[in-house]
Amino acid sequence: MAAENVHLQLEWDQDPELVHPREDRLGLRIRVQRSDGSPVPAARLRIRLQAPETPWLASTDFPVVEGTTLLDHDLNLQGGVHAFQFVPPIRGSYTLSASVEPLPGGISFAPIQKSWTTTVRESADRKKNLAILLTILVVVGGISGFMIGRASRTMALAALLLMVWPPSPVKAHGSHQHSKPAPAPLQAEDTQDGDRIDLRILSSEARVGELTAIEADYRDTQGHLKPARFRLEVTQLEHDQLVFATDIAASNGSMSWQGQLFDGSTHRVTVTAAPIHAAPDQKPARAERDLEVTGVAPPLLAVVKSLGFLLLVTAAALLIGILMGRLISQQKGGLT
Amino acid sequence: MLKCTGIGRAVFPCPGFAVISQHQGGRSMPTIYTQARRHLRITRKLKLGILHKAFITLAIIGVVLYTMLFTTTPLVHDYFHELRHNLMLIPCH
Repeated sequence: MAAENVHLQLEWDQDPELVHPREDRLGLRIRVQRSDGSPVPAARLRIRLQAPETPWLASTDFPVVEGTTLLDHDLNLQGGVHAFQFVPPIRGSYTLSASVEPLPGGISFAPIQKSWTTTVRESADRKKNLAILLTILVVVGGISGFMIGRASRTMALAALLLMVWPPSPVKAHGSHQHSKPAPAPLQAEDTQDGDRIDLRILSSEARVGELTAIEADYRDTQGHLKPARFRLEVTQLEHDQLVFATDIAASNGSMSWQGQLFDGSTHRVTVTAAPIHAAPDQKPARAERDLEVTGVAPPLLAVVKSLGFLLLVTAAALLIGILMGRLISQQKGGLT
Repeated sequence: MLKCTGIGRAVFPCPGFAVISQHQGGRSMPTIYTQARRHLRITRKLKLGILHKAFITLAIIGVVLYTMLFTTTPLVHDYFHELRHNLMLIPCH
């Protein structure tokens, strides 16, 4: 019998253009369909999400994440659909690639692979904040240059004051201290029937820029694996923000996931699970564990690029200020 | 009196040496106001070229920017953490 053709389709829950880094969650749904449009009942799906590459001009606020893998997930697909939600950490073009191959005993089809690219842009608020910072630097640089050009000592004090004056309009967001929530190493809640979840963090250390591997099993009172429908949620506790969520149906009672936690702060991994054919009102089993994600100091190149850009803007304003100061000074008869 | 030669064309009395001499001579230490007046006098006599002034100004701005937005010192970093993330191009952890 000839292998059937299947195709992959990607749907977004909202226009990616409207999603901003670190602020909004983007939902994706991958459909694996047969040529007649019906879903492929069972298949092996691998999805891989790649973060945007390093921008050439200046760094993003998570330089360690740039160009790394955000998600690498292998799963047995049930019902032809897999959905997940994630918070994009930085601006730029994300690449999602998916490959699908048949499962033994399932329908036969030729393995296929497909990639999609989408761009996420910074929010208007952040662009405005950057514009305010650059304006302050231009004003400080320009006034300082003007004073130097005119060689006026009294006004130089005013320029110095401006230099150390904090950029208060940008500070409107308020300062923020890293809060350390109370540790909650493992909390588990079994079902009424005594079914439970074994949640394991496989990575020895969760670290920004690297994938963290998580596994969970759904077991009955005798300890046997039981087919279950899992829901995995990862919450960043500092802002109480859900950064990743997905549903996984596992006929073997076991799920695994590999993803990157991009913020160096405490995260809570929550897994809930119920038997695949459970009644809708049945309370699922639940397990959660807190993870301290190790932040990585930004690479020197990222610091040099961004600081260099800010200083270049200031230097340009300073130069213009000096030229203007000298011009005015010459017009007034050479005040020195 | 001893002369110190500083940046560029500056030639001025050496205040540090004077303080040490006074102290060693058993006289009372100068107050902060005396020192401030001395430094102001020195600053007024200081003559720097435009290039030096521009370089010093840029260096001061650079130090302020680095301290506020780029340092990894926990106390400063934590205070400006949200500000950094809201400025688009400040690298953080």
